[in-house]
This record gives sequence, C-alpha cells and structure tokens, in this order.
Amino acid sequence: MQIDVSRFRAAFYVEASEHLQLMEAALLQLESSPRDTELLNTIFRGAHSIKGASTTFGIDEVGRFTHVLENLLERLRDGLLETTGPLVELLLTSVDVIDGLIANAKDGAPLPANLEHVFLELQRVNGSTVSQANAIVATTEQTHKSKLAEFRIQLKPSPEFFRFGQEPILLIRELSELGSLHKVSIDARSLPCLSEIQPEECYVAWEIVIATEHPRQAVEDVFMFLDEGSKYSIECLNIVVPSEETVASSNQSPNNTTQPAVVVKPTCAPSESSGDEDKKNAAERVSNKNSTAARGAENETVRVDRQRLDELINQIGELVIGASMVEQELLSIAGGHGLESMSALGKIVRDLQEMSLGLRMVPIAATFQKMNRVIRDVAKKVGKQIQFVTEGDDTELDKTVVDQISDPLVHMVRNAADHGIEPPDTRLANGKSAEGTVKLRAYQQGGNVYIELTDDGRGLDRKRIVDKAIERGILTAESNPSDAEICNLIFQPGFSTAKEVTDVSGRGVGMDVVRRNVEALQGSVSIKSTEGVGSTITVRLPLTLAILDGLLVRLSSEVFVIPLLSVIESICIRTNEIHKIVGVGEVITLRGEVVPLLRLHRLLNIAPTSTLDDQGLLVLVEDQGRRMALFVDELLGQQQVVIKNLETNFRKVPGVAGATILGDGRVALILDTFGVSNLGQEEAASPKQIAASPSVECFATQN
Amino acid sequence: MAKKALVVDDSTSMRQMVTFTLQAAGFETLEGINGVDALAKSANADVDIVITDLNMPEMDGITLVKELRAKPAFKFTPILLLTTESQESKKQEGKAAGATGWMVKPFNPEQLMAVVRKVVR
Repeated sequence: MQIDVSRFRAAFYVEASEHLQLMEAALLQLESSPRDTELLNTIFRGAHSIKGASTTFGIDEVGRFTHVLENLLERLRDGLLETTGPLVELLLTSVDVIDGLIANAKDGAPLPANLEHVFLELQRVNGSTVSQANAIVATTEQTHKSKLAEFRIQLKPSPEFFRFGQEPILLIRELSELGSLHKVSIDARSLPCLSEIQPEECYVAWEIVIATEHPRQAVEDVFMFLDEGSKYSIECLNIVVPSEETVASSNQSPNNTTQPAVVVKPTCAPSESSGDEDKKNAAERVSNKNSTAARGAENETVRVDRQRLDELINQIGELVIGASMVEQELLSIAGGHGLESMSALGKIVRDLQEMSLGLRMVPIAATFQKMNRVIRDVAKKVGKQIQFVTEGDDTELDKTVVDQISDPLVHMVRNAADHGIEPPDTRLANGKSAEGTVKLRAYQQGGNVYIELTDDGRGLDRKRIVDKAIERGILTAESNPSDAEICNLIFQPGFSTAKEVTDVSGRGVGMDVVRRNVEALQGSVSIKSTEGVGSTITVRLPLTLAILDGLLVRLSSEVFVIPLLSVIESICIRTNEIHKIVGVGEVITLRGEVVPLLRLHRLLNIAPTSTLDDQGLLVLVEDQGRRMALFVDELLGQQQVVIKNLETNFRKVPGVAGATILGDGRVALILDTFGVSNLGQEEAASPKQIAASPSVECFATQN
Repeated sequence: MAKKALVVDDSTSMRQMVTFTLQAAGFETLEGINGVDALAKSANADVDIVITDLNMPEMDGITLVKELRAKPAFKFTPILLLTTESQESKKQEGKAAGATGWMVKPFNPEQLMAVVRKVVR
C-alpha cells in the first residue's frame, strides 16, 4: 500500500494556524495569570499536536523546532520553570517562528530570519546546548550499537489471550526483527485432553531466548500489547561482544530466523495469507476512490476549498439573473400566465442565494484576537499600559471581507495604541487612570457591519493637524475647517502628525492605506475625536461583496446602478434653484445646505435626453461625509444585483465600482459614488478638461 | 464484512491520515474529535479497533480508554494509543488503563497498518 502523506498537509496547515492562534491567545492571557494550568495545557497541546503532525507529514523543520519548544513547555507545565515576562515573550516569538516555518513549507516563503536565534534561545532556557544534545544522541546510539545482549523471555498468556486478538506468532516474529532467536520452545503441560479443549482459550506458554543489540526496553515494548491477564518475564542472560556473524544474522528476514516456531505456523498461515489477499484487493478498490474518501473524512464540519465555494456562489448569482430573465420574458410573452409558479421559483432562488452567501460568513472573532497581540506588542515597546476590550466578536462577515479587513485594522489599532493612548504619567497628570483602554466593537445594522475602534487617549490634536495641512499646502492659513474636515485630513496620503517616527507607527502610511483598503471593500471609514478624551474610528463594511441593493437609474439609453446604501433621497428641483460657485461648480441649496450638483451625463460622457429645465430629477447621495446631488434621466426602481468585478473583465474605470447583468440580459454599471464625487471635483477644478471616462459603448464592444 | 475502526484525534490532519489509511486497507471508519465525542459515536456501533490520540481537549485518550474498557462491548476491543517519543511515562499509564498497544509518532501508513494487523485479523 503506497499512500502519499503529503496529501494531508493542507489539513495540517489549517489546523496548525488554528493551534497557533489559540496558543497566542493563551500566552497573552498567561501574562496576567501565570499559574493558570488550563492555559498552560492549551499552549502545550498546541505545540504537541503541531509536532506530532508535522513530523508525520514530513515537515521536519517544524518538527525540529516544536520539539524543543514542547520540551520547554513541558517543564513550564510541570512547574519546573517560572512564567516570566521574558519567557512569555520568547514563547510568543516562537509562535511567530512556527508560523513562518509553516509559511515556508506551504508557500515557499523565506525561513524566519530569527529561526536559529530563537531555537538556540529555547535550548538555552531548556538548559541544554546543541553540543550537549548531540552528545546525548551520540552516546545512546553507541549503547545501541555496541552491546549485544541475550535475554530469556518467559511468556504465559492468559486464557483470554486469543479473544483480545493476540497472536503468539506475531509476537515471536516481532522479536525476531530485534535480533536472532536462539531458542523458542513451547510448554504444553497445561494443555487439557482434546474433549476438554475450548478452542478460544490459550493453554500453552513459551520460552524464548533472543540475542539482540537493542536495549531491554525494545524487548519489553513487544509485549506491551499483552492483556492484563497474560504474564511475561524478561531476564538478561549475558552481554556478548559483537561479532560479524550475529550482527549479520539479526538483519536476516524474519522467516529465516523463526525456524523453531514453525510448529505453530500452519495453523494460522492459510487464513493469514488469504486475509492479506482480501485486504489487498480491498485496498486496490478503495484506492481508486481515494479522493472521495479523503474528502469524506470530516464529519462535524466540512472544509471546502475556497475557490469551489466561490464558484458555487457565483453560479447561484447567475441563477438569480437567469430566473429574473425568465420572469421578464414570461411577462412579455404569456402576458401574466405562469407568473404564479414563477414567483414561487423566484422565492426559492432568492432563499438559495441567501443561504449560499451564509456559507461564506465567518465570525470576526479571530481577527479581533489578532489585535490583542498587536496592542500588547505596542504597549510593551513604548512603555504604556493598555487594556484591550472587544465586543461583538461573533458578528459575522463574508470571509473575503474578514480577510481583507485584517491589515487595515492592524494599522488602526497600532495607531490607537501608539498615538492615541498617552504614557501613564501623562494620563495620571490629566486625571485619567494610568491604564488606557482600546476597545473594538463589531455590530450589524441593516446590510452593513460596523467595526468601531475607540480609545480613551488624547484624541486628535486639531492645531497640529491644521499646521501640518497648511505646511503641506492642503489648507490655507485663513481657512477655518470644520471638525469633519479635520478628521478627513488624517486620511490624506502621507499625512502624519507624529512628532517622531517610531518603529511602531508614524510614517504616514497609515490612515490613507486604511481608507483605500476599506473603500476597496465597498465600505467607508469615519473618525470622531474629542481632544483630550479620545477618538472613535468607525469602519462600515458590506455584509458581503457578492450582492448589492441598488437603485436603478436611466441615463439616456443606459442603465446605471447606484448603491442604495449611499442614496438619501431623490428630489425634483427647478432651474432657478441651481447656483454656481467658483472652484466647486454647480450647487443646489437643499433645506439650507449647499450640495454640489453633478451632471452624470457629462461625467460619464453620455448625451442627455432630458435637461434640468424640463424635468430636474436628482438623486441625493452621501459617501464618506460628502453629499452630492446626481442628475439622472429616470428612476427605474430598486433591485438587488449580483456584483461582477469590472477589473477582471475589463479594467478599472473611475467612478465605476463594478457591473451587473440585469433581468433583460443587459449589462449595467454600478456607480462608485465616492469615485463619482472625485470626478466631479476634478471637473470643477479644471472645467475645460471634461473627465475622460470611457464611454459605455466602448465597454460594451470590449466585452 | 468490513472491520470497523474508531479513530479519535483532535488533529484533523492526523485523523484524516489514519482513517484514509484504514479505508484503503478495507476498514470502515468512525471518527471522534475527542474522548467525549468518541464515546458518543461508538455508543451503538460495533467497533473492531479503537485508535486514539492521547492529548485531546474535553477528554484525553487515557480517560477514554478507561471509559471504553468499563463497557462490556469494549472489553476485548483492541485499543491503540498514538503517542510521541516524549510520552514514555504515558505508555505505562495507558497500559494500566487497558490500552492494547501504541504507535509512536511520527509513523507512516505502512507502519500503522503493521501495528493494526497485529491486533485485528
């Protein structure tokens, strides 16, 4: 039977990362409760499990490292080592190293740079150096090789011996693999007369003399399979000097050396060989469906390849479109006949879609937990006391969103710990507790998930931000920005007000990256801050990236989708309500508020079929605090659309977030309201150069 | 009739490897992710061999062996422990609890079947 164990590695990588997460979480808790045995057990179990599996699957680097780690953890668990700050630090670093080693094995990432250093450090704490460890191996190997000992073994099986599935010939064969059998004799004195024999009982005993170069323990191990009632004794007869002959004979095949046991052989040989044959056939049969067997190996949860899940969800998206196409055709052809069954089908399809999207939902807890480590590391590095609190850990989000929000969150959390929270003495001087609090909270509201990061630190320094903005030419010295505008400034590229660049943060590659990443997920980020009291950053994320509630609007003959979440209202206005402001362009006044007016036709290069003069239909939208009114020809209705990525099929188009296929089979572009407002600002800044967006015709022919 | 094996390990990859190997050799398999789960899964099953890891959450391998041995249906069932070389003392503990034998990690499918065949024919 040839089974390639590397096929199980994928499952190992997944579970190893789960173990590493648990270990990290336990280590962080261990700092505050160093004697918690349950935590120590969790950490030990993680390392132990990773070691066992990695060595089995031939990932030796991981095995070698976790072996040393496990030794240390064992001593820690057994109370031979004290849980100290530096030790926890070392263990946390070790977790990172294992993570790196696994990445190396999995994706060929470079080995962690600190591998050898951490390895030696673990060994140092363990109290053994490499040379000592090598020396131990060398001496044990020597005792293995040089001494050939003779043992006499007395074996008296219990009457139930056979019922336990035991077989004397197998024991004798196993012994013969250890060395040469000088004597195998059977003691049949307690054998009753034939009429009294119970075929399932064992009546005989054996005496075996073996010469082996293996230690006594190896001989003992052969008998560990015995049931409690069976007795055996091992007696060392002498230790012989090795000779070429005996060493050679110990390497011979078992069949040649078990000659004395041949008496027993006929009774079991036929059944055994036929059994083997059966098993061989079965093995061949099963190995033909190897892959299905491996897939069915999970009972409780089924791990499914991400790509296959995405394909399924995609196909169900197509089904939704297909169903609404059929519905529209039915409407036009049958004039309403069959619509009842169609609406029943439509409901099933929608339920199916909802369920399929649920498949990809995962709790945000794991991502939040990662932040625990980030906070701890920053606090250690900059000498602050920070309490980390999470809320709503079980809030669920699309896996794609969860994966991509992790990096932005790290930036935010790091900023909050490094810039937000003040050093303990400053806090005390300001009448706060020495320990600052950073809180992450997740909750769902409508079709969105909100992640709120709150700190009770110093808040944004308004004056410094304004100075910096003036210095960078973003603001003029006379301008008096609103609080919202101030907050917006920190999302500008390269905008950092950190007095000194620490190696933790402050290089100005923070908040703008955060905003870009969040926007890429069709979310938004906003910040509220009170100087001296703290800041709250709110990230809004869509539950899923697969579907979108949209408002369908018509521009000339084309249909566009405006994400419903950014739509506030739609209004009709008269031409005399439109004003022009230099540097901003056209604006309308709505309930006392000045809102920029964007003519989508112009921005997207489409000839209008209506003018504002006859029917001024405006959709008021808001994105990241910016409000604007979009001029459209007609409102077609509200619909859930399946988002298709435009970039993978065409290219990135400013102002367009993606595309979708409508019920009638037409392609409609989904507007990116923030991008549209940027287009509007560009146009206002240089009115001559009308934004050069590709026309929809161009897109249609390309596709 | 195919022999039935109960494979207990909290590690998915190890459990997959052991069950896959056994299935390839013609066994039917049941899986448990820890001792408690294994007891539940095996309650009404006719099991021919149990292969269990030692270190598991909820209920460890040694306790599982004791619990199984206390049941009449498992009095003679071979139970193999999966150990690592650093758990020498655990072997004795497992033996005392009623385990039949053990496999030392790392092992390959061939070694596993060699040990399984010693106790299941």
